[in-house]
Amino acid sequence: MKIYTKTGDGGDTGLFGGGRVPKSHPRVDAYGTVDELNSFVGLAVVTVLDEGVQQGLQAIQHDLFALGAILATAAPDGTRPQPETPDLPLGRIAEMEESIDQATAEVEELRDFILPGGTRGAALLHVCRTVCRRAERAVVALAASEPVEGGVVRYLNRLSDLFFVWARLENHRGGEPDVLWTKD
Amino acid sequence: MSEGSLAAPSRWERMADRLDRTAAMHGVGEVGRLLIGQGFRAAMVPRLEVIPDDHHPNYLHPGRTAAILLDDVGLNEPVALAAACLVDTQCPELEPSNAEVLDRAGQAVLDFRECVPRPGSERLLEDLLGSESQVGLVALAERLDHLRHAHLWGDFEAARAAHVEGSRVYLAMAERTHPLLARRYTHCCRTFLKKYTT
Repeated sequence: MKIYTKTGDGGDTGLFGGGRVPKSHPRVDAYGTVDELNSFVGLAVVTVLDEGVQQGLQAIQHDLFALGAILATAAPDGTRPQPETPDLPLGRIAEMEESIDQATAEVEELRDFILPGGTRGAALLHVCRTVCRRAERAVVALAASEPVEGGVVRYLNRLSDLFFVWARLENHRGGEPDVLWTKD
Repeated sequence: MSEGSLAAPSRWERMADRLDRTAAMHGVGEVGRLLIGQGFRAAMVPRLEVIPDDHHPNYLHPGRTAAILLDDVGLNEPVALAAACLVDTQCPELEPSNAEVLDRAGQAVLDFRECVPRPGSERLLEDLLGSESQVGLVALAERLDHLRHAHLWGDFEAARAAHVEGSRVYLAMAERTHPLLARRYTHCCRTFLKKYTT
């Protein structure tokens, strides 16, 4: 099967379930950013040294794929049947909150601003955090013009918090201190 | 790492550097830092023999304990910090023997280590409260580092028992002696106790 279809050469793209939109459409920006995030998570999986974090990241990759499919689906317009999309993994939000609490209890108390850095894995988790924030902003922008499942923003919001504490956890378990911001 | 080697320093070597820098930042002189380094290196000897995984929760325990004392408690007494590295209340088999401590860190460090109360005793809270203040702080920091990694032990019952004792005894001790350690114990106990008691 050829990977190229040439159908997007004119600058538009097909949505899941039918319909075409320009590639600059907020929906494409939203699911494209989620896809970008998933790629960085994949890089983090092969970079972080902590096995627990690695396993958690792998679960998130599956979630993000489902989330991308949901976002890539055209909003219902009454002219075509809605395709079946994966369920949003909302149960993971509670799991993420528990992971955040545990990691926060394990690492040093945060009393200063920290900079992205430390180990290679931690630095990459900060990249995941910032791309996740961008994905969240893109979804919020999409939601201004089209209906978006409310859980999507909640999931991404919690996920970026998790990346932050996992970055700290990766440093902590590796014996690296956080990189603190200094005024001077 | 030998001088001139191109190999990246190992995690424990980086931790040794970190302790040295942090101790200097907290006003510990060169002689004191040397003693702390000797204590930490002595603590790593048995670990390097039996813990092949440098991400094992106990691998850097001695350094993390000293880091809590320096950063959170502000303790900058070299004998106490060296002794703190040499206490392991969860895996006493990883502690260097008295002879090794004496040889590498001296009598004062050995005497200090002997004074640190151990968990599992009915009289633990009394012993902690009756300890000289630096001894009590070392006991709190050392146990806190174990408790915050208990979920990684792979032994649910041991972790549950440790957290129950942590909230009953160590938290009570921390509340009487050091506000920041008390806050950290409170946070740690609140997070993990629900995991072990529900």
